[in-house]
Amino acid sequence: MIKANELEFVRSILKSSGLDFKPLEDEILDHYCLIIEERMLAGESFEESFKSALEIFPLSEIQTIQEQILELTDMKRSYSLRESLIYSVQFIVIGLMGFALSSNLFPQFLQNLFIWGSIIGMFILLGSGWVMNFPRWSLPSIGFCLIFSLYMTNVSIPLLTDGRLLGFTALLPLLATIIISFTLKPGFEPFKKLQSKIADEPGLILFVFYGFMPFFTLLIFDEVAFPKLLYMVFPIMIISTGAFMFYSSKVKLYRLMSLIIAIITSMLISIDYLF
Amino acid sequence: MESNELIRGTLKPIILRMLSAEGKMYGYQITMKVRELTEGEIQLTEGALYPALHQLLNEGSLITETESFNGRKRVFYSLTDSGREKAAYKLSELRSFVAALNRLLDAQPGEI
Repeated sequence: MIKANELEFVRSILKSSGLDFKPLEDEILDHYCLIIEERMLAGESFEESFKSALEIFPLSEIQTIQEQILELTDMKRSYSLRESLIYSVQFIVIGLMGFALSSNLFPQFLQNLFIWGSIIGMFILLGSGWVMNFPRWSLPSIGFCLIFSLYMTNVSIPLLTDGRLLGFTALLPLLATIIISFTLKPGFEPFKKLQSKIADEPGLILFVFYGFMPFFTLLIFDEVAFPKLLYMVFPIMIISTGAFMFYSSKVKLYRLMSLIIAIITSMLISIDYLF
Repeated sequence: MESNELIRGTLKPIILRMLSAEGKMYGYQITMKVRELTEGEIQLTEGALYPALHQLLNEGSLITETESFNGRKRVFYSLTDSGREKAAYKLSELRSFVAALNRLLDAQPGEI
């Protein structure tokens, strides 16, 4: 039988090889221990048995197994550079909405089309994400749609609401998205998946709310006229880069840091401009 | 020993068969049992076994229960109701395929 200190030794070696997916950790540790114990029963020392176990089940395979399982079970943690770039576009689009709102560079109907298109696009992303068990690319749309809807309840649109606040009406797009998504994908599987993903990486909660960052920047720059408005490009690019790094990085800590750095830097730049 | 290419397509039916016969098993136990039953002809690698187990788990064919053992945890897999149905279907499909493959391999020169 393996002693407690030997068990801890094996556990630390497995951790250093990149094994950090909780549902896999226990069984891989047990698998190595069983190989080692079998060898020890045959008369080998712990050191010799451990060496044999590494020959039978090389540490280099662990990372491959973990990534395969994450992909097969809709738990993929990182994307290729190309995919990351595509998924980061949503942040740029919402950021560009600020220009459409505050400038008169293009005809009004084109600007309105862009603004409504961007907002509807985020609700479509939320619905698509729901149906597909909330892959990472869809998580910012949860934060955006939720906070945007709540924010809009407190907003009045002169031409539409005659000076009154939108109130409950502002929640209707969100409710419609929820009803359509639930009809297309009945049951609570997407939320169970989301829960597993957050349990695997709590930093995802921050990423959900990070989805509102471009719109938040847009609110900071509200009423700022063109060409001063161009300054908004910097925080939007930083936020989009943070999202790109989050999508593409293979290390949990780097993913979290990319979000925190992007939030702090973009806010400092925005505040620096305003004051 | 059979090549990985041959085992790949039959891995899930093998796992389902083992679990329908044994009730509940853990990963290492499955590899050892398969090796024992096939006298070493089929050796499941960890790199193939664990992704297949987690995929079956994700599909709802398997459930897990964890037991503490000598300071560590052991994860046992067993079939769900839908997993039992899947096992029956997959095994019958595999048997038909093996029978067809045998007929093909045993065909005489004039029949091909």
